[in-house]
Amino acid sequence: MEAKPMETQSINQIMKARRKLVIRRMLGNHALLFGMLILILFGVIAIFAPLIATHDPYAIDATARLQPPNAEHLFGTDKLGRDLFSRIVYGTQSSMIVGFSVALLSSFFGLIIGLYSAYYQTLDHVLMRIVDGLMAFPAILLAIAIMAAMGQNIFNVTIALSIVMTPVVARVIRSTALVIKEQTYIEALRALGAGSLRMIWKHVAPNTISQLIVQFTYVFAISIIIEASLSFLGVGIPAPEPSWGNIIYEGKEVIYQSWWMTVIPGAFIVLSVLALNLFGDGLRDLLDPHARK
Amino acid sequence: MKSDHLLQVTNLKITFKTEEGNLTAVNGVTFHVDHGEIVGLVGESGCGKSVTSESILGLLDKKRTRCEGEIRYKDRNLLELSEDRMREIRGNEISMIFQDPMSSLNPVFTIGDQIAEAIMIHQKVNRKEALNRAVEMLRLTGIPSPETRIREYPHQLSGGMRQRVMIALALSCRPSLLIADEPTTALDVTIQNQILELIKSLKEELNMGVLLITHDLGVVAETCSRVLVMYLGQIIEEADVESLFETPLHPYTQGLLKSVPQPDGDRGRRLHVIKGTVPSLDKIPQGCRFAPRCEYATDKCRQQDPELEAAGSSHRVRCWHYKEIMEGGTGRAAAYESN
Amino acid sequence: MKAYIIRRVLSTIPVLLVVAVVVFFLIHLTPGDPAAVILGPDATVDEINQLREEMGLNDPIFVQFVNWFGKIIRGDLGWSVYMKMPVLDAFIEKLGPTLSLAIFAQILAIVIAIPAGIIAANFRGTKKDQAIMTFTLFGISIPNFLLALLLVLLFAVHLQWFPVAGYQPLSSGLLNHLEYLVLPALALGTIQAALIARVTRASMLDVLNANYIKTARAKGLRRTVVIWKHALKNAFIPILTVIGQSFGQLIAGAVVTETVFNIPGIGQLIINAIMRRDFEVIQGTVLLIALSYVLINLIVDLMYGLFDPRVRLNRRN
Repeated sequence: MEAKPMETQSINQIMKARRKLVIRRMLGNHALLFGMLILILFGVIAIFAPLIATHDPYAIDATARLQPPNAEHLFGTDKLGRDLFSRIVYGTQSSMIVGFSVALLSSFFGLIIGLYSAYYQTLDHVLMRIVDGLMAFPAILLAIAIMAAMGQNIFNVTIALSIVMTPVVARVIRSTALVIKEQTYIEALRALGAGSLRMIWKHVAPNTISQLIVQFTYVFAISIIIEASLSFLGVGIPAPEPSWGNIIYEGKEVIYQSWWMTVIPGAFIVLSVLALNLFGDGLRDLLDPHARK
Repeated sequence: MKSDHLLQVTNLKITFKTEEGNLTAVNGVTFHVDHGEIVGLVGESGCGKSVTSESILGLLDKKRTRCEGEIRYKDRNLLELSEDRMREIRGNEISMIFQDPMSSLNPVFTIGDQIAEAIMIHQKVNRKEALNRAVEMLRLTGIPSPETRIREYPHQLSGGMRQRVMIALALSCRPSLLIADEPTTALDVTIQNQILELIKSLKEELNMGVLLITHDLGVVAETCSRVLVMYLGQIIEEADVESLFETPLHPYTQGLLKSVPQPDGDRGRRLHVIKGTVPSLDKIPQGCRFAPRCEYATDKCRQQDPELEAAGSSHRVRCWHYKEIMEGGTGRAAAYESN
Repeated sequence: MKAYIIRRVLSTIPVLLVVAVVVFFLIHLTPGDPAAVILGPDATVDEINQLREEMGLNDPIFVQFVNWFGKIIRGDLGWSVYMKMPVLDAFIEKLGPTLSLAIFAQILAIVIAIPAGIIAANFRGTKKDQAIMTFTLFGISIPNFLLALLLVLLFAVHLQWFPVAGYQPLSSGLLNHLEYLVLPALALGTIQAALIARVTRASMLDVLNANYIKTARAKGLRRTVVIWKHALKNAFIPILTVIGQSFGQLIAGAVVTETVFNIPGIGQLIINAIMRRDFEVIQGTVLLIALSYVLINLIVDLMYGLFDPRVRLNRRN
């Protein structure tokens, strides 16, 4: 058989067509797009918070207490006269930082733990018992207990939530890796003499990436919710640092008159988590052809 | 003439509605099945044979598929019947067995319950009586100690036994027509034979018509009296089994037969392969659908889609050049000169 | 089946051990010297050291763990400095309201979610499915304290259908008891319902694709029978798993909800303990909740045998 330049060209065409199909699907998936845009918006707010905020979030102004949204204070003021718009903007920053860091940390450690557990049996038994043990604690309670022990600040919130979320990611990666491991092409590679470490990182890991990315978005979403709950309870980001959760907590006492103190940060929470969930769902539909139909 | 046949499918066209547009999986298929005969429907995966068989019982998703044409069963057009009427026919007058017996039986119910269920819907009997009949059916399909078996679950049986259970289930109400979709594909070769023999003997006993769908020509040779060859949603050849194997007229059929490795043939010879691959449904070629892969294709083939024409008393083929191919090929043409 | 039960029960033991270790670890992260706290600010270094010796605080960690573990087994989970009673007693005292709330919420969740999930799967792709999916999406995107506050704003303050906050024990009458629990149970339950509905839908879709469903239809069964009898029994196992997990989340969610509605349950116990730095209460409560979570999951796993004969009769591993 002579070499067929026609065939190589058609492979390139196929790849290009595939890429176009993925992009078309991505743009066609309204949910995914919407989620992504909102996330970008929140990211921008988080990064450029100092520029976007209109006032100093800590500045107390006794003359301007509990104002409804107006021209000067876009979202109104709280009971100490602090500008809510700026506080909510900085709260966005906190939540985005915590959410992102937790997602990053737990994805990183979850990937390693999951992959190695899938490959080394003894390690698997030990690690999975620990994972099961950690998962026996409802997330928010474990976070509360850790915060109570370690003290309250944004750094510890991140650590506590990472400890809570890593087992979840580890379990998912482990299952995915186990499935991949059983696939025939891995057996073929092993028969060819590929060593375990090489197999894990060069062959199995890349196939878990799509799952990992989806888990990343979900962990991000859950972290935002838990952080907000912790702050609401007073054990998360400590006052007077602004956080969506503790703004709502402060708004609780005055909920009847100043309902915007509850609704506006609440809307931010719901919107950000919704966007992440939509994005994650959309990503999953895109990356895993089996999940469709 | 038409009402003589047990099942008469005329110009069946099945279209799927997908996000990429409408795909026609089956395009103008016509065939019939009579009492007491086993008709084979052969083709590669994706040629539309399963879709055709599922449409007979109305098992396709109404929202996503559209069926046109006629499926006449005992003087009724099944495509026009209401869902209620169809339910009366399913499992009762027309039954179907599927490819993988493990996944075709519900894992959480006993096999006795599953068979009895079918009996109880169609025949007005109570559970006890239904279970008795189930035991009888199991005995008929050659399952040992059926009284104990009825309390077992599918996962406790072997593959061959499960398929026997499926057959017992399908025949429990003594249907007139059995549609068997790849009944032996998922089974060991040793068991395949037993199941095929079982189907043949039960066909005799119940005087059923059987539509046997398969991609395995060996199965066809063993069991069928007539064969229909499908390619990309069309029937491209139809003949009684001897004629098909002795004088295949369509290049595709010839290719299929040549592809079967001969144990007593020349071992050094390369295996025959039909060049190219089956096109996807959204890229159906213009003209004769097999033309891109056919070594005899001419311009006429690429422009015009041939009709199914008669080439003998019970032999039909969809090819512009079958006569020339036949003459050029085997030289047995003389004995086969038209009508 | 028996082998399965034994195996499953045995596998809980290492998990419980890990739970104990984690809680113990948390205890030791707690800042401050317990002995110094007990003796007060005027104690001398010698007195503190002596008390530490007596309390076993200077022993190696492992010994301390074993001692602590021994106490736990015997039911001694510590002492509440603030409430002046053993932690276990405080827990049991406050358990009632939380259990009522959790059970109410769970029933609400199941009753709403499972039919919703089944309908969504059955009418997949239609408006009904999209509506249900949108609803569940919102359900998992809102923290329960926020939902609780919004429910209060709407139903208690604005419409005045239900009380704003508070708790009435069962002894004051069932209707009264339930009236005060409706909003909190809704707040908790809706979110769980969203989760359960999603899993139900996914599980049903998986099952509806299976070959035995085709067989069931080919037998001539009605669509309702196919779904509610053939499909659901198979789909139920992942649903059951998620219900078990959701019960644990409900207890956790109760922490927040009880704060909003001023219900004197476990949640309030923990929050108050945090504010008063009553550490032993926090640790003991978290331990007990984790234990019950493991227990609930064990029970759920054992229930699999009810639904899946492959589990019941599997002699192989």
